[in-house]
Amino acid sequence: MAGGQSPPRLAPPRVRLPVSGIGAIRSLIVPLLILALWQLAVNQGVYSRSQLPPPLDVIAAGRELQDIGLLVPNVLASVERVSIGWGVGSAVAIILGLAVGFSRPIEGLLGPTLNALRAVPSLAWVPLFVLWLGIGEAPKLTLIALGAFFPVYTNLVSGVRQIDRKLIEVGRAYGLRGWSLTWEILVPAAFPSLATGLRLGLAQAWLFLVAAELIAASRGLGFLLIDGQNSGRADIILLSIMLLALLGKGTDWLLARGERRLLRWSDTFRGTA
Amino acid sequence: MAEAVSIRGVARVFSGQGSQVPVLRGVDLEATPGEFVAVLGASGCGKSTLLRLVAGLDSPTAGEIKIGGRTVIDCDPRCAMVFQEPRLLPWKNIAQNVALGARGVPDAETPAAMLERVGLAGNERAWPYQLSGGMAQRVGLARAFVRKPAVLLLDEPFAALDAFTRLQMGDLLRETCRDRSRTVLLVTHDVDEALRLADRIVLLGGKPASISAEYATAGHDPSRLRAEILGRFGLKEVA
Repeated sequence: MAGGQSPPRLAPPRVRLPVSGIGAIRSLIVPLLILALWQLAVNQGVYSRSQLPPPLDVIAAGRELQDIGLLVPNVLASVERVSIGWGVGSAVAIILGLAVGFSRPIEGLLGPTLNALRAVPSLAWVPLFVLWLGIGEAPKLTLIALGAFFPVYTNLVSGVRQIDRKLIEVGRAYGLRGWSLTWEILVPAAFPSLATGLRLGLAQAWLFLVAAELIAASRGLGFLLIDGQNSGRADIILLSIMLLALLGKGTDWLLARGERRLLRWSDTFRGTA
Repeated sequence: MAEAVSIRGVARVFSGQGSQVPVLRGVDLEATPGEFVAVLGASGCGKSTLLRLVAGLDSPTAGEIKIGGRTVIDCDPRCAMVFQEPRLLPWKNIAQNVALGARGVPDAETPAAMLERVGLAGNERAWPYQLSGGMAQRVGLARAFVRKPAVLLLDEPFAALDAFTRLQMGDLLRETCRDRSRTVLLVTHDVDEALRLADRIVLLGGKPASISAEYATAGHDPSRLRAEILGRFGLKEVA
């Protein structure tokens, strides 16, 4: 009883992952260029060798740390802090962001306060955290969570407020209420903004990790940075920086992958080929 | 099972900042179970508002709307609405969008079977953004049909489609409603569409709008009815 002949079947949707052959090579051009310039600067003697060691020395420093068992534990300590801090900060931000985004009374109650807190540069809290929480893990995790919180919260609230009212109406017309409406309409509709917030929040978490570890830590990449500074080891400092770059990029790539998978329904501009 | 729709003395006034805009006043309309009624009126006359009131998406300022003798107070599960735009949920694939309509319907057809009926077999896993306007509106219809609604509400569902697709969709709709298992309210500004599909045509007009005339289509010569209705709108038929 179909009206007319069937329209053609559509090709199944395909997920394109960002890194593929040519893309991978292209993404390496600039880092290789930087390495070359670095080596060139060393050869030209711009700084003394102890101030600016050549790239290979940095790798040697990594091997040295590995041999005395200091590389992996320090990296893991930082990864753990970022994971916990970002996880907790994001979780709280999702709850508050949904609540403030959905309910105007809750927005009236919490919105202004949260916006005022956001205006405080988060590092300003450090002295207070140290006074209250000491110098153990608690103040570090709190700081990282705080850093991750605001990007997630802000993006989610604005994402919820940009949901197409017509789609909410569809949900209501087809019998969705309360939780089912939240789950099936509001959350997926706000998800693109949430994903942006989570990625920005993760970048903030790495930023605040280093801040926290620079202040007081006995392990972690921030500790390696301070240790390198105190012992005049530029190779260790550079190693820590490169590890931070790799870890930051790597974790962001993981999130980007997840985001692409979950947003394969979206029809947005992805840049020209 | 089809249910009767009874609209009595319905008014709807929209109040904005300091101003009151009456859109509907004293609308009376009765549809018997299984009847196909077209509500015809110019753009912006309040047709969609009337339909939203029947669906329970909005409440009347005065008057009462009943479906099968029960007053509509909130989104009514006995209704299924097809909107002007397909309004598919972009994060659900085609089958999942149809499944939304089947929610809470005990012996609903499967989305795949429903999609086959609207000529979209094999596209269950496509995303809405991959569909043309006509295909998307077919999914919108499938989502409403699968609900087996007592009352099917159609808000200019074919207005955005090309003429050819519109005719196809009209046929599909007529086929589906032939068994009288649902009451249909179709809002449209297309006289020919109303003549082709409906048992009865009511005209909505005036400001605020009310029902200004009604015509049964059975046993009438469509072209004379068409001329008469167009005349009501102050239009002369072009030969």
